[in-house]
Amino acid sequence: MKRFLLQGLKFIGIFMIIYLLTFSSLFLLKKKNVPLIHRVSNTLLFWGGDTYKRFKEFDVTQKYDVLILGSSHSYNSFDTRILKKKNIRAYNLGTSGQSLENSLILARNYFHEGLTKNIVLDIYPGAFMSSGLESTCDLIVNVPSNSTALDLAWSFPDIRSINMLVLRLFYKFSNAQEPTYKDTRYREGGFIAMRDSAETNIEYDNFLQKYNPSSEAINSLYQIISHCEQIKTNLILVAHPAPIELKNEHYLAFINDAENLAVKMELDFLDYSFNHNLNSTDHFYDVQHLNEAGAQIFTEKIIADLQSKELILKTTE
Amino acid sequence: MLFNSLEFFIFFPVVVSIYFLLPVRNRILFLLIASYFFYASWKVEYLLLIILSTLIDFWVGRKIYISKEKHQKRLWLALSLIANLSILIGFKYFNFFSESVAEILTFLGLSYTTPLFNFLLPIGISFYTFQSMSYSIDIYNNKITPEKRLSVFALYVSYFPQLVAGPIERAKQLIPQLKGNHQFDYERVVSGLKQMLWGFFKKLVIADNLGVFVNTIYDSPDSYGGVILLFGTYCFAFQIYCDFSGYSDIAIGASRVLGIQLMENFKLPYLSKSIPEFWQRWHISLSTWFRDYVYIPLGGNRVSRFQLLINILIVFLVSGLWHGANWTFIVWGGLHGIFYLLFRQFKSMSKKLPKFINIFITFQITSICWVFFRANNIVEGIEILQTIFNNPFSIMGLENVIRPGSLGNFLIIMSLFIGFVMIDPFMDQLIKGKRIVSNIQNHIIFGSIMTGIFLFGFFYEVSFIYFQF
Repeated sequence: MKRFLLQGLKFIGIFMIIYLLTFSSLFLLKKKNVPLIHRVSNTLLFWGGDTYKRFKEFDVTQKYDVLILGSSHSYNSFDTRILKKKNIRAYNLGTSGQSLENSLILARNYFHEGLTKNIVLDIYPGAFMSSGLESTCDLIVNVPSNSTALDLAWSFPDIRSINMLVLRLFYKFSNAQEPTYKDTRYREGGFIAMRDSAETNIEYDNFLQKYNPSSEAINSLYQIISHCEQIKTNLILVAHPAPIELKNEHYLAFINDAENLAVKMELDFLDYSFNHNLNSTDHFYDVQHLNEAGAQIFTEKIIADLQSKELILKTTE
Repeated sequence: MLFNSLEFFIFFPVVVSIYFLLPVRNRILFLLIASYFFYASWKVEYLLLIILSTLIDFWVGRKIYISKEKHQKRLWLALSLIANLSILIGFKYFNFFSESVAEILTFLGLSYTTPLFNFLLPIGISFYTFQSMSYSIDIYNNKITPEKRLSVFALYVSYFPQLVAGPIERAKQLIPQLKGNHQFDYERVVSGLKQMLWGFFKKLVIADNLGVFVNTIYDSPDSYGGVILLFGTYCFAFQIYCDFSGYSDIAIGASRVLGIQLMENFKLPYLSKSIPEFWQRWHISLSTWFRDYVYIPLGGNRVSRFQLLINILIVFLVSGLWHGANWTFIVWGGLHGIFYLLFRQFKSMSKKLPKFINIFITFQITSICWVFFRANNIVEGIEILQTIFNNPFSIMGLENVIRPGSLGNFLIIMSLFIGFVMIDPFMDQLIKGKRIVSNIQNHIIFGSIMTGIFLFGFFYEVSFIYFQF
């Protein structure tokens, strides 16, 4: 047994040297100024882009009226420029594929008492099912806080999380001041404007996703609710608009679940899934995400609804 | 519980540690509980099926043994076969047979409402029912005596490393080992861990990365030209090899760590010089099962030439059906049967050809057969082959396989794949102890393999292809 342990340690040492050498080589070799390490796996995400900017600009010393959490739907749907125009202090912390587990970690790490009056949690069927890999990897590389990155890696015990942490360390120690990857679609306050419109010949049936909520996701939602209660902040669940063609038994099952949960937990739930007049091609840039025109209409609508429910105060532009 | 899941990375070291700490008399019961836990982590209800199959064969095995008259033995054996095949047919083939009958009747202009069962296929059902059946047959043929302890027999049926996808073991080999007093042996444990690591590399780095291309191409084959379809088919040939042989390596390695040697399941099958040789190198535990329990009882080689031909075709068709409840698998099996017979017929001719030509031809034939194994239906399989042969130079759809910006990723996966093809024979010898390298060389080789898994592994908990069988 002693021999096994000694040889095991020797093996781990040699493996770590080979791993770091390979990682370094792929990090140092660049194509179009982007390290080759980003090419080796579709889960190694770029350092930079919208997530990097969004978190770099997020000021936790400010006071907000609304902070928004959620997936790409959230950063494509809630146009913070319109909120700003109406003197509503808002910030969008949505990230690609953000799972409820990720939202929970962000809420715990960033949201403290007195930071904001309201937290909007954008939900859709995928949020109740997502494993959160895409978002976890994205956040581990791009959030400014080391402890949040560690927290995220711990929450997703997977080799890819370790790779992400190593990548983060490489960037830290390589003295790179600014990331090479920029996202030109990023505007401000966390919002991303998509200018394209969806094609007219989309076969929506191909995007049918069977609704199968995961217990981990629902459990995270309960913990988010509990955290909001602790920091005395109002939590609002919002289901963003979806193209009417996606109205099916699976989507309706999700809405039903969300409604029941909101009633049970006494939360405000604003369901825009199919309660809208948005056009599936003009106001969406793909099969499910709003484009800039759609986001503008939706943001105006939700501001009016939040004000009518007196969740945020009416202000003058 | 998948081998490539976090749960298994906790489960396995815990089981191994407790196993070696326990007194020998308690180990069988412990491994049995661990195996049932391993299986129940999928669907606890299906444990009942394994337990049912275990109880029937344990009881029937004793009855066969104590029966004096041949016809009594035969009746008990029939009971075992009917029970196991009923479980297998009921859960795996009922819907297929029912739908096939409905299609035939509809074709004949008769109306028929198809009764269908709506339940999940119990994982590994084809493997453990075959293993359990072979026990009764071996007792009937006086090859073994029945096991006295139910716990030992239950462990034989449910032993976790090989429970869900083989190798399909024989009672004669496995049961004595299960009862053995295995001590922690450094060389053996390390050798088992190395084989597991190599299996994980094959599965996570090669099979699952190639699977991305295969799925893209085979999900809409009509969007692709001949070159791309051929590329997708070759990728599938290596995906299924690395997936299944990777699973076998993990199973054999895990079992070796515990001190129990499972049978070899793959011997570099794509280096076969003929289809008969391919079947001596591919899924060996299943091929030998069919040889011993179907082919030989049908008469083996001691029948007329025509009967031999029929017997070989029957074995291959049944083998195809064993793989799945779909006509595509039957066609795959049938094609292998036909090529098997052709190779037997033209054996002397192929002997005159250089070795690499024979290997090349055999690989092309197995690849053609894989088209039907992977295609969604027979018509699609035929259309894929038509495109490959009619438009052999068309690269239509290339942009879907190598998407803009993903050329680097594509090249890295292809480099890994080519690297794998080159080192597979060396690794095969190293794993099987036929080649010895120094300690430090071992650490470097397996450290590199682990680095490959860490950096290039595909961690989406993709199930093993053979789990569906």
